[in-house]
Amino acid sequence: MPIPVLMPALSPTMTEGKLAKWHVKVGDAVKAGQVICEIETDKATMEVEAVDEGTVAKILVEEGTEGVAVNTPIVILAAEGESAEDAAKSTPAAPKAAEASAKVEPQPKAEEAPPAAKPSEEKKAAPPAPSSPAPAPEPEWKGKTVRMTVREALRDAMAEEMRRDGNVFLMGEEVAQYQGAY
Amino acid sequence: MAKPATKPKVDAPAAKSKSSQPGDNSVTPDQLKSFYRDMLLIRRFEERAGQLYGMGLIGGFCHLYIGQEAVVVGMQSTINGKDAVITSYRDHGHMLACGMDPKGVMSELTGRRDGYSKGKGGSMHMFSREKNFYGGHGIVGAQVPIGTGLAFAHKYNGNKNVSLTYFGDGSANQGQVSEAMNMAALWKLPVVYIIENNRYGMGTSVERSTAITDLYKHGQAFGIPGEPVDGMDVLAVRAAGEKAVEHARSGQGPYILEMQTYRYRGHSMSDPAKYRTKEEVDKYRSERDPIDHVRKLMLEGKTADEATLKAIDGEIRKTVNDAAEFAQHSPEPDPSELWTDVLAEA
Repeated sequence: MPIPVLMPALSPTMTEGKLAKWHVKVGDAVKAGQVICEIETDKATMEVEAVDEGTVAKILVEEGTEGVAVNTPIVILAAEGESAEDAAKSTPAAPKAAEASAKVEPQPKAEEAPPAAKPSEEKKAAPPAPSSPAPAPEPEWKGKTVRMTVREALRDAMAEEMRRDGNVFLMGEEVAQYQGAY
Repeated sequence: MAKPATKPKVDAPAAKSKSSQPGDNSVTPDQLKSFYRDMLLIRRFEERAGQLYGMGLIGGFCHLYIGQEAVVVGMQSTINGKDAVITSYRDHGHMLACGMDPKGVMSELTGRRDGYSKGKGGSMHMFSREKNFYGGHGIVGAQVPIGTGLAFAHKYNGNKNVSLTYFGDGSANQGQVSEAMNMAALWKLPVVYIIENNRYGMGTSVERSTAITDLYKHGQAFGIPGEPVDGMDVLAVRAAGEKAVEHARSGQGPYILEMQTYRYRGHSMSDPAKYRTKEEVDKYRSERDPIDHVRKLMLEGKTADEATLKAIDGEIRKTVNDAAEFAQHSPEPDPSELWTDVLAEA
């Protein structure tokens, strides 16, 4: 059976990426562990390795394509003993991908409640009375807002601090340079 | 105290003089074949785990053992089933080497009911009392005092078992590691500390983080003997391991083995590993691969032919495919499981 290779998620939050570079072309034999392409996210460029052995039958996503959704088939490999032509004709099905994406859809709220509380009771139950007065609401921010990742916010805050005070320095800058999650 | 051998230069992956050669008769052809099989199982399992992670079927963090297989396979061949094993969060290989079922391990990775922690622990938190595997641990270095405690229990119970306590070069600088080593030496506990020095603690190289980069010397303050080992050569690992385990089992106290190894993948799935060169990785992969090494030993020593190896490859591939298939179809844990296994009354 032809083997489709899917666009991988490289972190728990990645939803799409750019197919930056192909390392293989149609007709190439691929071994497990071999780098087949590079993908780029807003955070980093990473290499993708083949898991299965086979021959590259068809490249489905061209080099340089941006916004390729996770779990999209990107290349078809012909398995051992298969002709690349036949494999290329097959339509890649990604049932597992569909299953995976279905998993992350928000669940109905009732399922999040502890098993002791039945869904019907939960709706009727009044919210527990606060034991202390609620904190005063934060004054509404009237200025401009920007969207940024926690990583960027931390980086900018550290940079600001270092500009403000010449004695502030970072110990172990390689920790700040590290691009992965834990 | 054992006199440590000269440390091979880590920058030159081809430590040819130390590597085992075809015709090495310290192991039988069957043992060699079983090393090949065990290492290949870990390699293929980890590649598949990486793929499932990419498909969103494994959540959270995931640390692959690819490249380091010779360490755990060589060490596990030196102990019996009653000895305790404990390691860090880069733990899938250790579980497989302990004989844990690939289906149960993979199901834990996908967070399913048939996983070793019923799908509630994930990649970093799996245990098997049956196999005396005391876990993957998520806190850097935390397994070292626990592994030392296991050795204390062995000594206290007078059962002649040892504790294999694995940790990485990053953990080697942890305060709790030194404290544990002191106690192990003081009470002559039967523990072998196996430092898997893969050269980078997350993204920081040993040279940038460690005052004494010869990690096998880290027990010197406590009088713990140690030696460096070519961690890419399963036979070198086994030879050093036998000696260290015998030392611990015979009541002479702890021993340190610094396994000089290398991980091919990033620290975790999201790490693009920009802190090292592609050439460095390629050099290890092409010249020092532990699986290729054993393959070569078998072919050149004529203890196995291509057909035999191909049959093993196929068998391993099937085992791993079955595990991956199983792990996708095992149901998720019931919500009521949230309240179970929180406290164990002793």
